[in-house]
Amino acid sequence: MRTLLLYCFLAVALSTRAQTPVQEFGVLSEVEKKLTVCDFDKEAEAVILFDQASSNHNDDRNLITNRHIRIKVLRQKGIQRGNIEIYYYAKDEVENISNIRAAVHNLDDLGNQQTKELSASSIFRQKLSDKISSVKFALPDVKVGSIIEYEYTSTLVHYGWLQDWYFQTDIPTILSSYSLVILPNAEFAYQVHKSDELPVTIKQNKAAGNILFEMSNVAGLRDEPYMDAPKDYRQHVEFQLSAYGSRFGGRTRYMTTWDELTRELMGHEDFGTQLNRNVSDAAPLVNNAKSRSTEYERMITVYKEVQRAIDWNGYNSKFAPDGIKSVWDKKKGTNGEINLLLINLLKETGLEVYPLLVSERFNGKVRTDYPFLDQFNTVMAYVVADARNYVLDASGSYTPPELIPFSVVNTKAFIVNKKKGGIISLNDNNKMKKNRVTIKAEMNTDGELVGDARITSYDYSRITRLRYFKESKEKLLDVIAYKEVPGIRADSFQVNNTDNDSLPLVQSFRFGLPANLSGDYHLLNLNLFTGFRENPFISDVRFTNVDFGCRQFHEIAEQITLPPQYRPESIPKDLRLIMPDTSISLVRYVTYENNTITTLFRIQMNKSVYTAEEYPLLKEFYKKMINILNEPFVLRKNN
Amino acid sequence: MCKSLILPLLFFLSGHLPAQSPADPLKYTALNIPDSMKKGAHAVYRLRETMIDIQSPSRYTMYDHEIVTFLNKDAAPLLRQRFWFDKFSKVEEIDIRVFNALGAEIKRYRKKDFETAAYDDNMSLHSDNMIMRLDIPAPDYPFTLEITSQQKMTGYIAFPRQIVNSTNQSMEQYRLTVRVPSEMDIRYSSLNIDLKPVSTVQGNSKTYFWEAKQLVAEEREDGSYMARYHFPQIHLAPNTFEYDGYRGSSTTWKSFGEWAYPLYNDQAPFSPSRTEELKRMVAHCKTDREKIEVLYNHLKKTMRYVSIQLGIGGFKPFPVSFVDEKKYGDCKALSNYMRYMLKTVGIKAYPALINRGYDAMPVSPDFPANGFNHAVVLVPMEKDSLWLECTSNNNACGDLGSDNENRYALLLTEEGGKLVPTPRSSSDRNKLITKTNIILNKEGAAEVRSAIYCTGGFWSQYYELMQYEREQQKKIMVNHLGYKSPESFEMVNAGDSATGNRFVLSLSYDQAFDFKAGNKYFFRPRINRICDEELGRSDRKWEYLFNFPYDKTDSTFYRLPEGFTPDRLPPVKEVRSKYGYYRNEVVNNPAGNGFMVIARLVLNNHIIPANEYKDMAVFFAEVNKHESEKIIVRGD
Repeated sequence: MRTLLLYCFLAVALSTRAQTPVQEFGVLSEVEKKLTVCDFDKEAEAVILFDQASSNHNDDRNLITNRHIRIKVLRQKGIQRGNIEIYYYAKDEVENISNIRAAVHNLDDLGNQQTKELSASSIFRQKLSDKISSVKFALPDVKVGSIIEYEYTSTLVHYGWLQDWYFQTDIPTILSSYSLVILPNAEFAYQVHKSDELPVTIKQNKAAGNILFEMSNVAGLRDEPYMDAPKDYRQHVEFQLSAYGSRFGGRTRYMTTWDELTRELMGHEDFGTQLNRNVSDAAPLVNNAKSRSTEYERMITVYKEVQRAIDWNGYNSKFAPDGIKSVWDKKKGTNGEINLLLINLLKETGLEVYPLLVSERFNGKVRTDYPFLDQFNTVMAYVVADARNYVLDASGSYTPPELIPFSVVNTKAFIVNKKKGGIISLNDNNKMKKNRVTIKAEMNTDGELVGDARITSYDYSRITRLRYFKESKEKLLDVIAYKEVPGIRADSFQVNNTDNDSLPLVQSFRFGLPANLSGDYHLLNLNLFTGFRENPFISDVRFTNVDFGCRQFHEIAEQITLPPQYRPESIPKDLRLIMPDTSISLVRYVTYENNTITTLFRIQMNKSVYTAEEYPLLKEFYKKMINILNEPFVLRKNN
Repeated sequence: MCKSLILPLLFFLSGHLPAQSPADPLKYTALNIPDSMKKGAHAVYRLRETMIDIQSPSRYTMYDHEIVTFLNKDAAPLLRQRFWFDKFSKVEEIDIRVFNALGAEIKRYRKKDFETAAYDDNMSLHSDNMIMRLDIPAPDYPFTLEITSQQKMTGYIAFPRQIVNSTNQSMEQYRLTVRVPSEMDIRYSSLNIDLKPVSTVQGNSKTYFWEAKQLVAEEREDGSYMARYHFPQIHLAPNTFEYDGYRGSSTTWKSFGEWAYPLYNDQAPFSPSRTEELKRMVAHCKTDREKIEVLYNHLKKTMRYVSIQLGIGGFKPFPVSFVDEKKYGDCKALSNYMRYMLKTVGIKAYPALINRGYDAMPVSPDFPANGFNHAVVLVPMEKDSLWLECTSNNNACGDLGSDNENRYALLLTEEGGKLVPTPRSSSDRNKLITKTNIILNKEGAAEVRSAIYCTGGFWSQYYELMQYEREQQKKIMVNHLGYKSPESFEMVNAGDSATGNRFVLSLSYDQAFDFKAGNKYFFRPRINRICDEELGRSDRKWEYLFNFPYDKTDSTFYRLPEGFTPDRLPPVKEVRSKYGYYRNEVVNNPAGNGFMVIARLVLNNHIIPANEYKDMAVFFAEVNKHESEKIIVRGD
């Protein structure tokens, strides 16, 4: 999907009433009544007939949005959509939901409309956390064919809280329409993200200070394996009103360039100013780091300690509104707060370090043409130590500095600095998911296999496996052996180099596999601990990119000795399978000599992202690859 | 009575938490724990003491005091502090102190540090349950936490279960004290530990005291009843209780039923016109059984499950007319609705309280107390009574499902409560019969057509599967039902027979064989796994539970193209065990070129005693081994 980038600067002198065509509550069209299946998304359990909203302001500059939605239930599974939940930001009375009206429309046997309205006593409010509350209600008498309709008003304390408008959800939408009246003398920009095939209607009425966005016949978007960011694919409009500061105050500074964004951020109380605060309680750590002889060691001392001591509370942020001092005191913070604290302390030790705005993979791709702050979900630390660059994330589990954190590798990021700032690509520098497996085994006269396996894991594979190991040794063995090879027994499990980041993780164990008989034949499974047991791609269709995150290299070398009574019935051939664009290759070598089978598999994946258009080829390749890996060595026993 | 008991009780009764003694490092240090207490434990409880002061049938105060040493990060889940309350309970105070390994206090948290929010039980649209949350950041291991809290109840019908110790932790000292007015008294029992209280009388109140020391850590085992059924625990039950102004007694099952039964009474369930409508719906029926089926189908087709639990609404169902109008309700509302529908057409039925869950143990007939979380309906009949699960959109009439079978239900009748057993699950009620034709061509591709017949637990699975879209269905069939991944696939409902439900599945494969060696093709015995049990081989101390007993039959016919012949067909394989039976046979097709594979797998008991688990594991290992053998066909 390509982005259609439209930015529009709208300066308005007067504000007038919003002019949006409004659907009348409860008045259904014949088409809506007769609809039984959505013709552009045939299996959908329900369809949004329309989702209309219009935003305006009052004299207090509050942002008031009236929303009206009508949904038709097409299949049994859609009946649960009769239970509606509206979330809102209740903390500090930022948002309130009011004027709720809801009803369900059914057709009786004669085709007449029967409407049941929701009674006020059936509306419940719940506090879900310190920040978020919800309004919940269940519509009565919902069945296949019912039309659910509801409307409500959301009042937000100011325009800084304006949310993106999504045209697309997980079910199809026939009409999605959003009308926005902006504040007088305000300026804002918007970005429409959509796929090429879908048109969008944008109508501006400068005199009225109003802009209207509409999309029609948008199919639903479902979850798919290795999907990176749903946000990237769902058709939506992104808004940026004035400066980032508007979330917390009434500033109306306007940013058109990355330089202006940098200036704003570095002068902001919850961002740039924090980097110069003195965290006196952390002085012992800073002094300890300063005493190290190399810049790298200084960096590592501070990084490891912050990562270990401060807990991530699970929230994403780019700012530290409570101040990094309190983060150090409470030993808890958002990922942005923890990394701003890290940057502060690294600076204290005299290192060259900058804040790095990032958009983690699940959050969507960074669009570099326009300085939209909201496209970044957090901040990490960019360090220059001993003339090498590092990207550090002290929230979550530990990543050695030599590796870009997995959530941002092969993405773009923005260094916030007047002189050295700018968009950079966080390339993987040839670091990838890499495993080398060595197997030496013997088959006994009953056809059972006993042997030793040694797996060496590098880079990102090392981190993933180390994480399992830190959960428990048994968990790691379960993942690499029991879940990989059915029927296997494993013991004498050892894991080496867990504490040394510069060495690969070595896992070794003894294993036993029972005999696999089919009639007179013994089947020797060669697909041992490769990590590729089954094809994860089952669907025929795909709407989103497949994103593996990084490149991959797997090599498996096996040596299996057979007892003399066994003779090969068929030896898998040497072959090489390669994708049409050469991005993935599989090599298999199998030889049989002097009762010994020698096997080598090598799988190289040089691309980490495949578009939805490339999916059929990728799926087909995986299918062939898995079949090749699973082809056993067939033996016959001479009696 | 021991001195150490009086002191905290005195403070406790005065309404305040005991003043904290100045931190005594020896009390909190992690360094003096004996090895016997550390073995197999993630955490060591130095002390757990609970004091319950029952003031009236509607009021009691509970004071908890724990000192627990965290040995390693496996104990980290205990750092998530949670307290629950609702309209009739209140958390009055919480005090948490954190001590380092040497026993010095390093941090303190109070009630104000907790975040309070609505509690989402993943089931209810709305309830008045609230939760207080605090996740304490982990200091260096080992460290010790001292947690003191006090809760006040202003309405109850049962007391919380008192866990003496749970798995992977040891208990150095456990103490439970319960004080109750003598005229009320309480009943008690213990489970998984033989612990009897010392009781004393002072004036008109009675005090019970339990104590246990040096309990070693036990391992948790998966695959059994929910772990908490295996913990050593003390059960307390009231005689008289009062909740939201409704007073009752649980001294006997009869009396408890006498409390619940009026809550289900509905004076005006249906309007006269609606009554007429219901009677018309069953006018054509010749037997009571037919009438029940018609009304149960009506319930399944028109209702949906929505749970709203507020106050006594947690025990009293919505009015029948509310359910009739909204077309939704929770288990109590839907059950009561069904019961009144039946009453309207002259059939007597009882609502029944039950504790649902295939891994929930039955309530004890000898210890009447509320342990129920669900309601169903019983229709007594001459020969076999009919049980109805009213929250299901698909259960067959009379089919409760294994999460309601094999336990006791409390019938609510005019004469009070009657505890009756629910039916035992049987493999007859959970059948899966598949008949598949695989038409192969010379390239090894195949067109496949499979007729599926299912009842009980299998019917629920396939019913669920049919709700999904095709691509999702395909993933479920491949990832969870063991089908070989097809090129194309279609599944249609083929209507219901008198006894079960039918589907037709059409699939096509580019490569129907698993692999080829020279001119030999290796095929799976059938297109989907008949056995998906993977049992570990080690010994067990707790029983092992399957979801339900079952009876699976599969007949797969392979039609081979010209020039293809099966290699030597494998012999019949039969495996028997106490609770399982397996048979697989491959026969040549006399009529044409091909062969037929017929298999049967029966599990006739789904609750396996611990000492019989190994047999079961061996049985399934043999079945799996045989099932993984390929059938070899020689091609051109």
